[in-house]
Formats: sequence, structure tokens, C-alpha cells
Amino acid sequence: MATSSHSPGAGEPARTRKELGWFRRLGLDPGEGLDSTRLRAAYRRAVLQSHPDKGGTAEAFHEVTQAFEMLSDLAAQCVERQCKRKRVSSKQCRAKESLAQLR
Amino acid sequence: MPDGADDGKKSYSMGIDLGTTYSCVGIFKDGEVQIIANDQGNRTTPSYVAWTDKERLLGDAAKNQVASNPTNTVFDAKRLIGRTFQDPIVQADLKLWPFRVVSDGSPDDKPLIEVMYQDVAKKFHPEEISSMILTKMKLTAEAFVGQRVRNAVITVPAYFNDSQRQATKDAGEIAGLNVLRIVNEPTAAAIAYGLDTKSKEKKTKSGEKETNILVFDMGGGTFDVSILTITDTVFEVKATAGDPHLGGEDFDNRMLSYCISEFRRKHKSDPTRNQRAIRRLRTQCERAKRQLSTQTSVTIEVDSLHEGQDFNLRLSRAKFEELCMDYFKKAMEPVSQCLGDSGLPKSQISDVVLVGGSTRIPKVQELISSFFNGKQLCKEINPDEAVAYGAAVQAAIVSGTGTEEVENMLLLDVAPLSLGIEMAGGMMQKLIERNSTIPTNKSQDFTTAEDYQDYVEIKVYEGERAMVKDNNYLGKFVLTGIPKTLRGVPKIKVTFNVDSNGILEVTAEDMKTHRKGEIQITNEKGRLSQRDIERMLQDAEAHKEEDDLARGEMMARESITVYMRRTRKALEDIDSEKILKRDRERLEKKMEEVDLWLDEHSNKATKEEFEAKQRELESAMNTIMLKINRSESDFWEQQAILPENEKTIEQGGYFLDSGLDIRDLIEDPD
Repeated sequence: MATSSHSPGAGEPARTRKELGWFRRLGLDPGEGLDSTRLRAAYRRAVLQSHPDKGGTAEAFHEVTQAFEMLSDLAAQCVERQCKRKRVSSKQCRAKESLAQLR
Repeated sequence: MPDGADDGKKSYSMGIDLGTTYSCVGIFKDGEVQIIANDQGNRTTPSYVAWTDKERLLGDAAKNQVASNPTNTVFDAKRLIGRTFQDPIVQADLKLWPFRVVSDGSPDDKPLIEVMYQDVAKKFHPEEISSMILTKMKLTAEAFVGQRVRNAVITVPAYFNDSQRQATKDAGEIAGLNVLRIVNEPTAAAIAYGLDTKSKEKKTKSGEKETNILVFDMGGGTFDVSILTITDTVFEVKATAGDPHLGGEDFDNRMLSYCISEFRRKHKSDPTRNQRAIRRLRTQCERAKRQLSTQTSVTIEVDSLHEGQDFNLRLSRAKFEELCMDYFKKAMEPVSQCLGDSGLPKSQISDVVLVGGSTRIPKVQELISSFFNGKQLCKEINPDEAVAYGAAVQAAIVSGTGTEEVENMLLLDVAPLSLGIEMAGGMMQKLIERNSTIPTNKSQDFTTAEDYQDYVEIKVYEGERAMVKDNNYLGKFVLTGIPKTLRGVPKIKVTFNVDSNGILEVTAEDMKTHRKGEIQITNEKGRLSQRDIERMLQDAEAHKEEDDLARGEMMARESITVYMRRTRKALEDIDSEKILKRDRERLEKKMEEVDLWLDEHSNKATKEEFEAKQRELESAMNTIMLKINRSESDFWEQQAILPENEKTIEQGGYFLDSGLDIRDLIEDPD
């Protein structure tokens, strides 16, 4: 099984302030890396709090969806970088990883 | 919601599936969804409204008389709603509708449906027709719970655009409903699927298990595909695609054209202009289509269709499939588009859920199954009721009237089409991408192009093409009151908001002054104005009184007819020696008189007149009753034991209270 997790210090750039904001919005620990399953679970927890139907506001909900989309993109980039390191073509990589889960 | 905290009546919220051909209503009650049968005992109600000389008919009553009153029986309002008269789709449909549709003549070019009612031509917006159907569904729900129901979730096809959604919401308002939410039909169906699956699985398997499903929803007039990721609590739409004008009626039309050409070939005469003939033939085509889902061939027969000629045609399932094959194939395009948009490979779709009556067609099932490499399709949920079921659940979620399990659920839907504005050179600049999770928003700054310009015009479009001319024009927003200064200096932030209903709202703010009030937005989305809606609401209220009156008369008329029938029967049964000849003659004379009176007046008498006549009859009857020395109640109890062939429906027989044999109604009403 291919791994999509990524830990800092493995040659990845440090988190920007913006990125840290996204992690915070989803209640994720930036130190733990990006795992698509964890990311999605965190997203679900966050929307259940922030959605207008659940007592949240449209703005709060929008922030959560934005954070999720951004982090999903970030996770996808991580996967690509890892694939490059492993000298796997990104096409194969995508097939394996089923980018879908990462959006 | 605290249990038992309020000892007053619990208020209910309903879910209405407002379909092109049929509608369905559900309500969350006593911990579960109840799909409610209408006064005819049917769980779906035809989306039909008709005007006769005397009254307005809704639902089954309207559809049952369509062959005898084709030009004043309106259906397919969903195919008109939110469209302009010149829309090519409307122009094509026009040729097939027996009722008249005209333009309102305004720059908005709204279509109006024209019917004759009491010798006066009356025009209705499609929103008004839909509101009448919604009213019928509301009455059905109210009869079930025994109290007023105002709150409703109404469903629309996922691929409905902004105008169509807005118009549907307006229809709800005209019906006097508080529209809690507009929900996409496949999403609603997914809830039904999710709850069904959950109830079957062991509760121990809780937690974060993700399942991807594809909902294939093909109904009478519209077609949607949605892909969702569902967990125990969150139903998240990943992508949606569809065709807002593809469904069972298109297949009926194909069969109809084929039958007409066959008739022409055989009899050398053309029934096209004979509305009644066309309607009768269409009814038979629809019936044949349904039968072809279970049989391999059927015979379409209509006696004396046109100019005394009978119509008779043997149609095989293969021929039906051949006639509609391009439609069936067309339906596979949104499936692959939706899959592509979702980013999921076919193998990740665990279940393909079929919803809508047209998914009963074997060829449709075969094509989807082979698209998914021979996958078993999910036919567990009721294709006719799943949408109303899900809508009722969403109504309970939004209004907080469900169980804890239901109230923990959350629906995340998407905008089906990209929304953008026209930029220089006619390019479309997308502000909101399709399949964005809603509610969502996006802002953009605008400035002026010329010195001292004090307004900006923004044209809004929806669609995926690069040039605005290829997309659907929604309307324009004009910002006025911009401080006059050199070009490029003003900075106006325009925000596009797509709400949870998938409806676009635009706001603007002058970034220099930060005063929102400074900028006026002229909304020209071609929708009904608030004034229009209020006027229609009043019209509908007036109509309701008229309907109530008509209903009162109808009931009084039925009551007297039933009384006459029973009395006649009683006279036969009573031992003639027990009645004085004089009394009998008096009663018989009275009955004869009432009979004549009914013949002449039954279409114009008021409720009070009917009741007065019935009292006259009753007094003649009571004289006899007293004389045979039996209490009236005993007598009627005896009469209540009717012979088998006179049993009412409730008693397991075939008769309506009016004495009408329902077997007479099942076949063509003419």
C-alpha cells in the first residue's frame, strides 16, 4: 500500500503561516503530516460544527471548505513529490494513490 | 429538542418531491418517514391541474378527465418553470402540449399557460401551476397529521439552474409554504439509501466508514447523476451532472410519433390535430411503455381513435428500445462526466442507486450496468418514493423535528453549474466553479473604465463554456451611485453568494467608503418580482375559497345522492304492509321531484340548496320511519349492511361514497 502520509523534516518545506491556519481550521496538528483519511475525517468533524444547519455560519463553513481544499491540494503535491523521490511516474503514482481520495 | 417540553401540538415539516409527471409527499412522524397517500389512496399524485366548467381539479381528478378536456388540463409545468418562452426547449415542447402557452410579452419573455375557465381565458405562470400542485400535496399531508403544515423542503433536479430553482422556491411561496430548503433530488434519494443501508447493517459498525455511491435518477421529465461520499452522519455530494430535459415523457413522445406514423400509413389520415385522439393515444403509449419493462411485447389498442378508425399495434420491447436508443445512450454521458468530475475511478463506486420511474426500463439498467463493467445495481429503495423520503428527512434535520439520529446528519451539496461574469471580449470569467460545495461565496473587485462613470453593469452567466454567448444568461446587475471620479479609482467589491438552495445572491460594497448602502444593485434575473408573488399568493388564496366552496357543494351533492340511493333501496326492502300507501306515495313523489331537480340544478346549486332538498326528503322518510315504529338509527344500521356488489371501498368493495363504481374509472374515463 502506498503511503500518502508525510512528516516534516523529511526534506519538505516548512509550513507557511497560511498553511498553519488551514491546519488549525480543521483542528489538525501540523506536525503530524497529511494523511488523506485523517484529513477527510477532520473535515467532516469541522463541517459538523461550522455548517449553518448545525448552528454555524456560512462564513465559518466557507473557511472550513477552503482549508480542506487547500490542504487536499497540498497533500496531492506531497504525494507527487514522494513519487518523484521514489522515481515512479506521477501517472502511476496517481493510479496507485487514487488521487480521488485527496480530491 | 427537549422531549415532552411542549405540551402543545408538535409542528411538522414535510418533504415534497415536485415531479414533472408525478409528485410525492413525506413527513417525519413518530421517529420515521411516512409517505402519505392522497385522498384517492395513491402514494404519488399526478402533477396535473385542470379547469372544468365548474371547478378546478388537482392531481388524480385532473388527470382522470384529461381525454375529455385536453386543452384545459395542464401538466409539465416543471418543463416550463424558470425558462423563457423563446427557449428552444419550450418551443419544441409546445408542439406536443394540448394546452396553450403564450409569451407574457414583457422583455423577460416569460411563458404563460392559457386555459378557459367559466368562459373566460385565464393565464397562469408556470410557478402558479406548480404552486397548485404543491397545495394539493400540502393538503394531503395536512389530512394525514390532522393539522396545518407550512414548513416544506421541496426537491428539484440537481441539474436545475439558478432560475429554475428560484422559480420553484417562488412556487412554494405562492402556495403559502415556508420553503425551508430546496434540495437536489438525487441527494435526497441518497439519504433514503443511506438510512436504508444503515438500518440493515449492524449498528456496531459505526464510525468513519466512507462509502462512495452514484445515484442515477431518471424520472418523468428530468435526469440527474450525482456521486456522493457518505458516512454515518455526513452525506457529501462530490459531483453532479445531468440533463434537465430527459425522461419518461420523451420516451412516450417517441412512441407516440411512431404510432401516429403507423396510423397515417394504415389509414391515410392524420390524427395530429385531433387533441382528444392524441391524448388517448399518449395514455396508451405510456401504459405500453410501463408494460414493456416486464413484458417483451405489448399491443397498443385504441377504439375509434380518429375518423372512426380503430388503432391497433403490436410493439416489441426491441422496437421500443430502438425508438429511444439515442436517449438511453445520451444518458450515459452525464454518468462519465460526473465520474470524471468526482475524480473517482469506477472501481471506487460501491453502489449504483437507481431512482425514478424510468430506471425500471431494462435497457437503461443494462447500459448502466455494463458501463460499470457488469456491476449489480442497487434497486433496494423505492424509485418513486425515495426522493420524497429523503426530502422529509432533510425537513426534519433543518427544522429540528426528527430523532437524534436524524438530527445529527448533515447534507453537503454542490452548485451544479459554474457561475461567472462577462469580461472584455465576451469571455466568461468564472467566479464559482461547478461542483463547489454550497453554501459558498467569492468576491471580486470592480472599477470604472471611464472618467466620472457612476455605474457599472455586470452580466452574470452560468455554464462551462469559455465564451459567455455559449452559456446561459442569468441577468445583469447594475451598480449605481458610484462616486464620480477618474477611471480606475473606485473600488467596488462584488460578492457572489450561493446559498444552501443553490441560488445565487449578489451583494456589492464600495471599498472606499465601506458603505454597502451606497451601491444599488438592480436585479434582473428575469424572475417574478416580490409584488408578482404577493399578487399570486392572493389569487391562490381566493382560489382556495372557491375550491372550498366547490368542495362543500360537491360533498352536499354526494350526500343527497347517497341518501336518494339508500332511500330507494329502503323502499324496496321494507315490508310494504307496514307502510301506508299514502306515505309511500308521498315519499316517491318527493324523490321523483328531487331527481328532476338534481338533473336540472346539480351543476349550479349551492351547498345550502342541496342540504335543504335533503331535509325535505328526510322529513318524508321520517314519517314512514316513525310509523313502522322503529328508531331511525336501527333502521340505518340495518341498511348499512349492503350486499356485496354495493360495498364501498372502505368495506372492501368497489363503490365510492357517491355510488360511483371505481371499476368504471379505471379504464379510460371517456
